[in-house]
Amino acid sequence: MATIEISDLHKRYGAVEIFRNLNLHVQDKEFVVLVGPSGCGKSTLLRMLAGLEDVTDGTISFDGTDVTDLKPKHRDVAMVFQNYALYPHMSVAKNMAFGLRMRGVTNAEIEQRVAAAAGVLGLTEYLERHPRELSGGQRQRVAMGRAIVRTPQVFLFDEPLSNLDALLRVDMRAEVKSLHQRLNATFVYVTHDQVEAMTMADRMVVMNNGTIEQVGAPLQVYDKPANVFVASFIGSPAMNMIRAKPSVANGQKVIRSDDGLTFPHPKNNTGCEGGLIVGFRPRDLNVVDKDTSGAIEAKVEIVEHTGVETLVYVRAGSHKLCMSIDKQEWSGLGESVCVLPDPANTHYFDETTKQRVG
Amino acid sequence: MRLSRKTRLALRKAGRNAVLLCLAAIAMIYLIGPVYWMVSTSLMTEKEMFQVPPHWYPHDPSFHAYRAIFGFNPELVAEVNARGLQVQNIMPALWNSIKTSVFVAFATILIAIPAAYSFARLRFRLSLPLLMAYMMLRTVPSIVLVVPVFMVLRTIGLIDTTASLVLVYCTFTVPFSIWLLQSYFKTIPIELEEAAWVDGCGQLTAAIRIMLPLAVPGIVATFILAFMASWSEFLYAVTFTKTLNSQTVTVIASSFIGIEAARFDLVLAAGVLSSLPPFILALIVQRYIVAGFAAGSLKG
Amino acid sequence: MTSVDNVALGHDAIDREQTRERRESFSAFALNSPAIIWLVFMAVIPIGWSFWTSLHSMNLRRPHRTQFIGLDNYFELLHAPEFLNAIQVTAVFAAGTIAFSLLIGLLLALLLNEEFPGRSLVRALTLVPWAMPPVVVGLVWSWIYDGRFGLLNAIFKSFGIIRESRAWALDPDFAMASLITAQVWHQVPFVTIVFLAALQTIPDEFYEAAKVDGASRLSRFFHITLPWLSQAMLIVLITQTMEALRVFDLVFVLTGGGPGDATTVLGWLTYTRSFSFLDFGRGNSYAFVMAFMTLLLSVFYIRLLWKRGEFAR
Ligand SMILES: Nc1ncnc2c1ncn2[C@@H]1O[C@H](COP(=O)(O)OP(=O)(O)OP(=O)(O)O)[C@@H](O)[C@H]1O
Ligand SMILES: [Mg+2]
Repeated sequence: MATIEISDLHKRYGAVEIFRNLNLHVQDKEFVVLVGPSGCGKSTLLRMLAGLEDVTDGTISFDGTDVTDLKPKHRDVAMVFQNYALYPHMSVAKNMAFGLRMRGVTNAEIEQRVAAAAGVLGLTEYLERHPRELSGGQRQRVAMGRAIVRTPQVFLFDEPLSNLDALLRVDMRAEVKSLHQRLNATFVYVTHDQVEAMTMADRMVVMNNGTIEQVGAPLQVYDKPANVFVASFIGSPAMNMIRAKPSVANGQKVIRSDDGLTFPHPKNNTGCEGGLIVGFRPRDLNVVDKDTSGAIEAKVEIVEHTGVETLVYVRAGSHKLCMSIDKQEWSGLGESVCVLPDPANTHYFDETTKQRVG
Repeated sequence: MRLSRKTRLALRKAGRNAVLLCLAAIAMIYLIGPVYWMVSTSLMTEKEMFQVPPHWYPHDPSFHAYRAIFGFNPELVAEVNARGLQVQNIMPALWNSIKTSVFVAFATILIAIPAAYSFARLRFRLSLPLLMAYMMLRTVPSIVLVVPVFMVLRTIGLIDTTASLVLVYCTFTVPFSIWLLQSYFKTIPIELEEAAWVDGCGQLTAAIRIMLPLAVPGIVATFILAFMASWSEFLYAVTFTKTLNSQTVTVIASSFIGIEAARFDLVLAAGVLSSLPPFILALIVQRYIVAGFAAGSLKG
Repeated sequence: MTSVDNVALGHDAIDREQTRERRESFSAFALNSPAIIWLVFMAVIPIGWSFWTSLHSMNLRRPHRTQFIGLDNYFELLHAPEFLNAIQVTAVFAAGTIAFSLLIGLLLALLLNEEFPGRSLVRALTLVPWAMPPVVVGLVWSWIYDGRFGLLNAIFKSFGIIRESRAWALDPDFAMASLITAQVWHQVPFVTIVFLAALQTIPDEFYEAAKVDGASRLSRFFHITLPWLSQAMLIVLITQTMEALRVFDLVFVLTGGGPGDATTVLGWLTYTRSFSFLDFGRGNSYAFVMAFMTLLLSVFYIRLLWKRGEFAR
């Protein structure tokens, strides 16, 4: 059992405030991923959970017990550092055994648990090597091994995969996920890679500038971004965003941008008095017939092939929109096309509060 | 004659190397020449030493000088001392030097490690002023302290003891060692200790089990530099020591020179013996000496 | 990241910061206490005592005549010929050693900065004169300077530079030069390494850019290399002045301050005043003048290191 409760957390470095009033609840055995741009405070938050960083104000509790002022060694947590922080002067086996030894576990048990963890991670042949004699991926495994031998209640990961090459990263992603299922513990995982966040998380926490922008299951965050930041941060290529105002066209309530692009009015009418931001993902922008109602006329400017999909950049009015379609040869550079965002997947945000309105 | 481009390049490179090697040879004659002359003279017989013009190398190398200063040739020693010299057995002085330097080096790192740790790992308001104060103490000329320290030592009756030298030498070795060690400690990533804290160590255990083992090269280098500084010291040694009870090898070596008759074979044999340990140690810690010089943090 | 305006933080927030600071300060103090205690007893108090003594007339030959005379010892210095002479001698010595060790060290560093076979061996051997105890340096050079059988006489004679052998270190005209030569030999490795370290940090692009601009080898040296070395030069200047101020062992072995007082540098004067004449009051005031000069230098020095970011490392 290990729930984590972060309430009213403040963190300052001198006069610089990193967090103000941060609240987060992590359920037992949950896999929570903290994701956000560089410098938003992910590592700081994780380090405060580990007890490596002082809390300025507020409380952190594990299972209802206040641990705010506990030293790291008194919290039942394990942490995997971004640069692994393996002890260079100890063999792999000693690295993994260190935490157990410090906690007074008997030698026989240490041996057995290290062997078991090494088996799980495929490190058995490397136990006598030193960290400098291992590849990046193997080091990463040792760092994980050092965490899992201790079977703590909470695992903390600080961008553990960011130093690996792309292929290995995909493998390790699955491996971490399966570890979570096997270990039955609470995982808090930090990354700035949204694909990692989407694929691994039970729930993801999107952070920006020291505040939590949205908490939710990956698909929920993807489908219903709570605000402009989340909408633009999650999803690649980024969502198209257009500033627009409510207006009337042909007797129908629509919203219209400065350069004359019109979009249907959001279904629930609340908060549409002032300016809005209309957003739709490249995937949700489609080529339509010229006479479809609401079709936007645009000119094709750039075509990119990623292999899986084809990205078509079109200019509509003064806006450059990105459209993603299934892989195909597209030879219509400079051509005019008509495009239309899928109304069901069009997002509306209040221009001033930047919050989702429909 | 036309040479291919390749040969021309090779020739040019060879020419360049030849010029550089010549210059290097001149530099080596300047830097090593006096050392060579010391070793060579120490191996010459009395007669050969006084050749005019001098022999460039000992034609008939002999270890008589070394034998004499190690006490294997009392007749020779008695003879030269009758001519107004003060040659004596160098063994006790060597032993005093070793004793003093080892004590100093140990005391220095024992005192310097905790202090250096505080600068590398703790945040406290006086950190910078304190570090600067150590730095300033390092630059105080020894002569400034000779008289007052002499008075202190005389009061507590430590004149002419190894202990007095250890006490004084640490005053100079501790500040520069703190300086060197703290900059070495700062190169060890703090994440390693943080990992150890999460693994269940307190701050002290993590420092001892993780940081110290990783700092061994820096600690050894500091140990050696403290050893060398104390081995080479002369001013305090000549002021505070009176007898073979505590006189170090530098003092004894300098005492071999007489006003009237100099036996440079004996003097320089003692010189060779006094220089040998620092030479060897300097080569061992070469890398750190260079780094330390560059940081401006070494006694010149 | 907003900077903190008046956010109402709970009391434990401030407490926590304070306790942490107090705890770390306390540990730091505890960890430094052996060093501090040692240095206070062996350096700070003696220096203070020495200053106090310098305010007295005190001669161990006449211990009962000790008397507080304020700054008189210092005022007297200004009229003491021996002091004024020592200042002059020290200045000549410092200028000579700095000029030559700078020049030779720079040339050597430029040489060692080039690639050639055996460079690392040469670089290692460069350290040898530095590692030699200063006393032994003195012994070796006094043999080289020897009036009858010395190497220097032999070399000069074989080149026909001199006719008569000379005891160089004891010759009124050459004692200072002999002393400087020995000191320079001992200090050159330090200077070389400092310059070499600086040379090795010059980015190659600088030279390449200058080459593209068609700068000659010489103008590259004067416009890129020398300016880049200015800080290293300052370090050398300061440390070498300090070394010149503290020189003692060499004087002891080579010249004994003579002939006459031709090589009586400040350090030597202080020493003989105190231990040959047992005039501790006067000796201490000399020592204090030296301490003061060094202090000024070390303030410059620390500022310099500060600018180079040595303290952050
Ligand atoms: N010791 C410190 N003193 C002052 N500011 C700090 C300190 N440590 C971190 N910060 C600031 O806190 C903010 C959050 O840093 P943090 O390391 O948590 O970011 P992050 O989200 O982990 O970024 P990244 O993805 O680059 O690792 C940054 O703006 C950083 O500048
Ligand atoms: Mg981070």
